[in-house]
Amino acid sequence: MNARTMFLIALFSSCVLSATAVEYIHPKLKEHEVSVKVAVVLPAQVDIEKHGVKGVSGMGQESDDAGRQVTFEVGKALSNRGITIENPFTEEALKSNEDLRLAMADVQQRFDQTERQLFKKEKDVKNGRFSLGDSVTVLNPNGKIDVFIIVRSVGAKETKSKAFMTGGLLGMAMSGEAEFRTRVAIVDAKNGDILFIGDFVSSGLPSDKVYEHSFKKIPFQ
Amino acid sequence: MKIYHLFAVFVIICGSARCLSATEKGENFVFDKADIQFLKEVELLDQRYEREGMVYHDEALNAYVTRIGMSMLPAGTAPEHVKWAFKVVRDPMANAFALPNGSIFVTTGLLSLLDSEDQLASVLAHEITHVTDRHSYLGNRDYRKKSTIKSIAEFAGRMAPGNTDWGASIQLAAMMVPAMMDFSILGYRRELERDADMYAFTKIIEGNYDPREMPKTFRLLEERDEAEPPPKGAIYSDHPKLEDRISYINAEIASKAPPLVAADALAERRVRYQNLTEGIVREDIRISIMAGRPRTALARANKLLQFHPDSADNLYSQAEAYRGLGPWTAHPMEAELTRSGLKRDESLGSRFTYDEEEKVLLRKPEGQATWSENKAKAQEGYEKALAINPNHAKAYLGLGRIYELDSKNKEALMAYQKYLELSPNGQESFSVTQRIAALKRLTEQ
Repeated sequence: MNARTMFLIALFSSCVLSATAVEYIHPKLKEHEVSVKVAVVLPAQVDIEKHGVKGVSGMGQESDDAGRQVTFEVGKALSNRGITIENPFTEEALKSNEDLRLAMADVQQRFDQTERQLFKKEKDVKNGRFSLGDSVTVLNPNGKIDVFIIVRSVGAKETKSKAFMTGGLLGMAMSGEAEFRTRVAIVDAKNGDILFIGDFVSSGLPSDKVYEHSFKKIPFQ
Repeated sequence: MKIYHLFAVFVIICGSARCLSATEKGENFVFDKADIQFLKEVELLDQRYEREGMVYHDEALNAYVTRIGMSMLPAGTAPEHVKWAFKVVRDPMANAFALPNGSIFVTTGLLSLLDSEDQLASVLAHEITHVTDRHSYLGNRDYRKKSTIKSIAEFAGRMAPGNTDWGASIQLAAMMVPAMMDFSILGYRRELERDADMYAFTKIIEGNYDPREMPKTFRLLEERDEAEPPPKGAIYSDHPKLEDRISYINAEIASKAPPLVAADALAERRVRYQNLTEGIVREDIRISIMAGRPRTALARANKLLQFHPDSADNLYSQAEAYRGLGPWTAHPMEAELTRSGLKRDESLGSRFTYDEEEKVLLRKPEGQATWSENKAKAQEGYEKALAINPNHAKAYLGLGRIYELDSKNKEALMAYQKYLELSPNGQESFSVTQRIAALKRLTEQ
């Protein structure tokens, strides 16, 4: 196989694999039983790891930056669909308000506890199976928020040398961008029901267009 | 495969094994580029814990933990790139850990499990050793080195021609080396843990604490309130077995015969510990319930009430634990603790959410009977709390929820309204307002 053929294969694969998305929608959202006008995107939790010949190591700064970027992109995509995005949980607000920070941690933790079953059978969102319970209302004291958006993303980036050792020259040619799996959940801010889950696999972080394309399938009122 | 091929496999494995034994110690530690990068990652992790609300801030408690931690530090200035900080992290699992930048974390689960200041001192001294002796850096160096050997072995295995004896020999070695490396990484970490125990033993004697509290701490760590498998065996764990830890510390006590600590000093420290951790234990009960560990929550609430039986807050916490138990019994049933029972629980836990498991149990008569019992105890707890403090808003909220479950809508409505009256801006006010509206609709029908 010559270098040109390998390059074409790499290019083709990266185009095909650039982003795939699956989404599942709760019947309440499909049947317009829930009205979504105001959303709050909770700070996205992103973890990126570097896989090298010397083992796995964290990429803390990149993870933090990606977290901010994903939060922004998801908000932008929803905003493009006519949803008002409020941002009461800025880094500054959370830093100065201990109660708010703990309440936020509680809600994120509630999601993490459901995550195991949710990620195992995401399609059950269609049957309205998952809920975080009405404890989520601690972040919605005056009931003005319709939904919370919770995002989890894991990324893995192979170093060139590791890519060579596992996939040879082709592997090395294809390495570069981190591979991400991002899940976006829309949670009813009044009772904790998980109304939507979008599951994105992408090379590099998905852009707002990818999210927007996915959110187009949600019949927002 | 011929004998010299097997010999080659033997040589490869012995070569790797030589690398396994080349473990470093922390004296005269010199930072390299990889260590500095590791430190940067650690600093970011530390900031992330704070940002994500995992760290608990209570001035009195933080000052107390810091004072004990500081008294366990070795004399002299802090080592390079270390800034000591003692923090409490919100996690119902009993644990403590140290970051190499000097941040030492104890979980709320551990604070609520321990009984005394002496026990906390031994845990902090243990964690301090990980920092002063650079265990994280050494562990990371060891991991990187062994991972490199693993990668090379895997690469060699992949490249070796499978149709020759030599190729097969290399593939065989490539299969064995990674597993050896994994075991060796854990083995090295167990050695470091033992070093930390030994330092803690010496340090708590210097600090006039009682080293006999150390084996008691290990015993407490063995306790299981939930039906869950014990920590994995020594082969898979990065800590020595608890039994081994107890026996080598007991052997040290026997050989060094440290002076006995006066009983009144011990008792005084125990009371001080319980006083200062009472609030955090209540918080731990709340997060244990939220994390689906109501049996642990109840055990901690019972312990709180032994110490301070007339506290409305403690009675409320116990009532919450009973409500959180739902159809589960206060202690695991014998069948749950058998090997097959634990396996079944694990499998159910991976397939069903906590609420779904609860529904399944409630379909059984024994589940319903247990739930009725727990509900009655919860109601009794809320009422006792209100008898002590008639303005305990959250006790009204708990009562409302119990009444609602029993379809006593009028009583539920009154309890919720009382909650709103006492705590109009409480975090739960919106959900309570929703409940009131729903109940009003029901009572009007």
